[in-house]
Amino acid sequence: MTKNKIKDTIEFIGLSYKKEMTKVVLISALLLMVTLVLFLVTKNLIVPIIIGIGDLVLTYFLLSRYNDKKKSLLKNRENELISLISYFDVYIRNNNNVYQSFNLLIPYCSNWMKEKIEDLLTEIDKDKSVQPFVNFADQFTSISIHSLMLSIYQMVDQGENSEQLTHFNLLFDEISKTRNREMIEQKQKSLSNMSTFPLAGAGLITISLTISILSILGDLVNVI
Amino acid sequence: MNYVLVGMLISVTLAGVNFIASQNILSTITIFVITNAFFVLIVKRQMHKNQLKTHRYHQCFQFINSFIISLNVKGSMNAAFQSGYEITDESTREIIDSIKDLNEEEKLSYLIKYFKFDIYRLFVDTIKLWNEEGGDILKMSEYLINQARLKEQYLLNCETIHRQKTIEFVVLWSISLAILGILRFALSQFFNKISGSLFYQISVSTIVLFTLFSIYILVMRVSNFDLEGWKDDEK
Repeated sequence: MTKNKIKDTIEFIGLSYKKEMTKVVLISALLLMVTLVLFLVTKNLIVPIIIGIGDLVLTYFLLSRYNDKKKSLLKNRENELISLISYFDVYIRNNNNVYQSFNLLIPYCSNWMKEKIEDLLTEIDKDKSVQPFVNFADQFTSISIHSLMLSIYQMVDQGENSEQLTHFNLLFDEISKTRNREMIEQKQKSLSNMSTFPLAGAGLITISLTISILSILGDLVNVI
Repeated sequence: MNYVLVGMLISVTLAGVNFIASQNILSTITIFVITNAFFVLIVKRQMHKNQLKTHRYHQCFQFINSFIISLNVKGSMNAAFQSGYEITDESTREIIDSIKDLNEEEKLSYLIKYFKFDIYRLFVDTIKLWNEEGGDILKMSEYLINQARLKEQYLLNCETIHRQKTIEFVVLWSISLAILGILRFALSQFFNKISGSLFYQISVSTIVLFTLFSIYILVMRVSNFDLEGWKDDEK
């Protein structure tokens, strides 16, 4: 990852680039100091090398977690929008127009989404073309959200007739089902990873027993 | 589930494994105390929050379903509310009983404080609209019920996954920790020599604490699911 990319990612998730970089540098400096002290005390290169490698791995994980956070934030925003569109569907079916339905969604929104929906409504007031809907969809990475917003625009353009509603519902049902499936898969995946802990535990047991036994054998050899 | 009892059982197991493997009383007592405190202070609270959220959503879903079906059949808010009341549990009934002087629409609005889910607010909006303008309530709430059902289905799926994965996790850890115990007897001659080493003592305690850490991660992952509108600090 380049410096600019890291900076953009950190700022995207609402954190301060300077503060985050200070944290990473401080942790690395601390580990380097420990490495240096260990080398001076033990005069042995193996432990400092292991800690040095650990430091590099840790720095990589610290930097890559911002990207994970960004992905998770984007996914959460998409999930929120899909939940909101399901409420939008209820409002539009109860004889509200597109503008009113978006307005009625505001109490259910997070601050970020509220801001974006208010911007969308302001833009719709000024511009009756598809552009406000495209601009809103651009906030999300999923192509299905673009299709959904275009379908909503068609309702504005051609009226909320039954044909438009059916088209919108077909599209939304598909997105909603996919999202539900993804959420269950995500849950399954996050809990499946838990089996690595007992395996890592078994590994730790083996390593510690092996080292302990080898050190005893080493002592015995020295005595002989 | 009694999490204090489960905590006590796991504390005894982990402390037992630590004692068998290291023969160190001090680290055994420390592990027993830490595990107990962890279950009482973290696991119990977290799982209680989790159960409250899930249980409240099940109640909310049943209430909405029963209310709408009854409203469609009987056409009366009073009868629909009574039908919703009858399907709920004791704690929800207590809340409803405390507001019996209000009219049905006010009662539904009041329950927004109890069923703090977006889907319930949407339900109240739909009922208000039906009250003002009339219409076919089944058609008006078709998508609302579909969404509530999808979420209910998701919750039920999650509960099954949680149960399966927790059993898998417990079995795998039991096998791993059993290896530690068995090796102590299988390698008894080496054990007498290595049990005195500081490295071995620290390793055993680290492994036991690592088990505790993995239980913490499991609890956090099991509790991590979103029900729109509900915040985890709700009571």
